[in-house]
Amino acid sequence: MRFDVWSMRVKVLRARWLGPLCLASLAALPLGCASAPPPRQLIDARAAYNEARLGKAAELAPAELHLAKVSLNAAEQAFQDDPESAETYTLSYVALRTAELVKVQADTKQHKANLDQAQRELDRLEAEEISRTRSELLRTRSELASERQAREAAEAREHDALQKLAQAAALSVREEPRGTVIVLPGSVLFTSGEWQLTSEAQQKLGLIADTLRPQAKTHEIVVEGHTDSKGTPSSNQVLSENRARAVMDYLVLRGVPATAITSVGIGQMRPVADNATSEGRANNRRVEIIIKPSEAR
Amino acid sequence: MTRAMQMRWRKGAWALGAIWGSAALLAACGGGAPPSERLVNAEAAIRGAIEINANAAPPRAALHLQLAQEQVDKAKRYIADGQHQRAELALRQAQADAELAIALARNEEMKQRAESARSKVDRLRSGRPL
Repeated sequence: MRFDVWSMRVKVLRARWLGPLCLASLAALPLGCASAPPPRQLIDARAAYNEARLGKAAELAPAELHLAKVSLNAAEQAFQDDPESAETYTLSYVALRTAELVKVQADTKQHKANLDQAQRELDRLEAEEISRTRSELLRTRSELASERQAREAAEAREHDALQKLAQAAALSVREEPRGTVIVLPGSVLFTSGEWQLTSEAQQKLGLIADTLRPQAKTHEIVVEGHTDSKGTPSSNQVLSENRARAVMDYLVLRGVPATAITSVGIGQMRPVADNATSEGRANNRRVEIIIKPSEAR
Repeated sequence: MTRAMQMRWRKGAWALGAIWGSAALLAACGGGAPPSERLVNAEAAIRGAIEINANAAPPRAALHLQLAQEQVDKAKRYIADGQHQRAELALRQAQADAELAIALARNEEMKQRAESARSKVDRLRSGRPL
C-alpha cells in the first residue's frame, strides 16, 4: 500500500519533471519485483543510458541508442529472473559499456560535423585566396605591360626626335655603348682657337636643347670637348674644357636642367681621324654630346 | 577371495570411476562447448584497438583496453579449467570494453582533426599565413 502511494506520487512527478526523474523512476520500477538490490553496474547502466538518451545521441546516433536500449533491457530481464546471478552482473556490465559507447559515438559524430564544416570553410577561404591572387597577378601583369609600352613609346619618340634633329641640323648621331652621341664639328661651332659660339652654332644648339630637354628628365647628359694635335697638349686641354663648358652653358641657357648635364675637356687625347691631314684635323676638332643610357633600363 | 571375484571388483571400480569422472567433467564444463568464437572476436577487437593506438590515448581508452585484455586472460584460464560458462561471460565483458576503447580512440582522433581544421580556419580568417 505504501509502495502504491509512492509510485503514484512518482507518476505525478514524472509528468512534470520527466527528464530529471527518469533515473529515479527507472531505479524504482524493479524494486517492486526483486528483493535484492540491483548491482552497481545496472544502476550505472541505467544512468548512462538516460544520459545518452537525453543528450545528443537521440539525434546523432539513434540506431546506436536503440542497441543500448536492447542491451539495458536484457540486463533488466536477467535482474528480474535472478538478481544475483553472474549473468545479471555481466549483462549489466555490458549494458553500461554499451550506453557509454553510444555517448562516445554521438560525440564523435559531433566532432565529424564540426570537421566537415571547418573543411567547407577552408575550401571556401582557399578558393577566395586563389581568385584574389589570380586577379592581383593579372593586374600586376597588365600594369607591367602598359609600363613597358609607355617606355617603348617614349624611347621611340626620343629616337625619332634625334633623327629629325640630325637631318635638320646636318649632324651626325650615333648609337654607342656609352649612349647616344651627337657629334658637332668644331668648325661649325667656333672660330679657330676661340670658345665663343658662332651664331650658326647657337641656332643648332637651340634645336639640340629642344630635343634634350625632355630626355634630361631620365638621362644624364655629358658634353665632351676634343681638339686636334696642333699646339701643346696643355693648351689643347684648356681649349677643349672651355669649349665644352661653353656648349653646356648655352644648353642650360636654353632650358636643359643644369643638374642633368656636365662638361669635360678631353684635349687631343681621343682623335677620331688622322692629325696629319687637314681633313683629319678638322674631324678631330669637335664637341660630342652624349645622352647616357637611362639607369632604370 | 577368488581370482574371479577380484576381477569382477576391479571391473566395477573402473566403471564407477568412469561414471564419476564424466559427471565431474560435465559439471566443470557448465554445459556446452568452449566459447571459441567469442574468444576469437574479443581478441580481434583488442588487436583493432591496439592498431588505432587506444593504448596510447586517451587514458579512458587505455583503461578499457586493459580491462578487455585482463578479461580475455581470465576467460582463457576458465577455458583451460573447463569452466565454459564463466569464460563466456568474461568474454562478453571483454568485447564490450574493447569496443568502447576503440570508440574512445576514434573519438579522440576525430576531435583533434576537427580542432586542427578549426584553428586553420581561424588563422586564415585573421589573415596570417598558414
